[in-house]
Amino acid sequence: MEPWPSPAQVAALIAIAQQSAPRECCGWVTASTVRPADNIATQPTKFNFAAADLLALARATELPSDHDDYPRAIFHSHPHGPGTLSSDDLATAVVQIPDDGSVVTPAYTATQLLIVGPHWHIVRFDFDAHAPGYFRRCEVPLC
Amino acid sequence: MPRIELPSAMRVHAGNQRHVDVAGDTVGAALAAVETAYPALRGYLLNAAGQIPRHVVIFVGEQDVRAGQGAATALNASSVVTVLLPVAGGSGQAAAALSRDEIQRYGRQLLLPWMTGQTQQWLRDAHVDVALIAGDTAAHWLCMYLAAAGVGHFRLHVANTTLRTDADCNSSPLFRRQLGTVIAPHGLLGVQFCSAMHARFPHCTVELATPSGPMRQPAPLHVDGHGNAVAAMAIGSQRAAQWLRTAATR
Repeated sequence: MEPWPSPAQVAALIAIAQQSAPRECCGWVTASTVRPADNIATQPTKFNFAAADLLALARATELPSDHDDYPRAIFHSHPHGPGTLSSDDLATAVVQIPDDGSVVTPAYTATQLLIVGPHWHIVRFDFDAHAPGYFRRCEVPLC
Repeated sequence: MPRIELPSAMRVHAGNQRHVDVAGDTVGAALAAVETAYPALRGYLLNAAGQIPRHVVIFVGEQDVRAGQGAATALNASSVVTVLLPVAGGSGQAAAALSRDEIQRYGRQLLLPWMTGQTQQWLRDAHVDVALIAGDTAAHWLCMYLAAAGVGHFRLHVANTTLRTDADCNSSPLFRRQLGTVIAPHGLLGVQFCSAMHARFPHCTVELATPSGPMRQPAPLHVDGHGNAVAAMAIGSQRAAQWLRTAATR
């Protein structure tokens, strides 16, 4: 079974994050490609998908899950750390309807990839409704 | 009737339907009809004022209604309204002003558990007053430690070069008020010291204070080698590390 993300995708993600630094970058990763999104956040330590990219992401999630363009993970960077998802990240990574947390679902993808600087590496987080913050950190380093 | 396409995370509350067809001549009216049909979604598509809340993004066709009339956007029978959830977040770390060169320069230091980018930025913007006196090497080492750690601005006070003994230093009001008490290598004072600092740490600003110029801060850092160069270096490095740690955890 091919590793995912592939070494080429890992290299592409880190290159995107380095080019964006000190601003955060964002986008999504498919089976074989990396799709950057425009970050319209006004603060350099925030990210916010541009509306057009949001629409493209939503339409891609309607593809069959085995389609090559199906989004497998959303990524963004923390150029200065930390290597964990922030409360702001988690706020939009999941949807809680109703607010009591009885039903929690990932907003778009069940996997989040965080590109962490300044020593660039990638941390993977997988959705787990029972984990604190609803995401479980993948212990296997990707690079 | 207009068609409302729901995000996958909301479909569980709408009979697992990808889209619903509802009556309504505006976006607000159509979304209100969805909330009426599926009460679990009430408050998530429209707020109490009947406006589109910040946590959803609405497209009509290819147009983001936030750029137009929002909930008042007109619909016709063939309109397709797409409800989207934002993808946003961020570290919130306020150290983005660090340049790539600075991140590379201080990269190893930023790995320390008590160091953050914000602290590094604070050090870069810090101003340190330093008093120089001939006869020892502590000045050299202390300033090197502080500059290497990332302190960005130094102002040098060249003390009376006749102050060569500990007793002289201790009796001088200058040394009781200073931020850093350092002793320059013999013969390396004033302009020479500035030149040496510039050469080794070109990213630092080093200026000479006027002979009677006041120190800016009372001293949280004091180094006294008692005339022994090795002791001064050891104490200086230890005190500098403590001072940096204190600064980092402010």
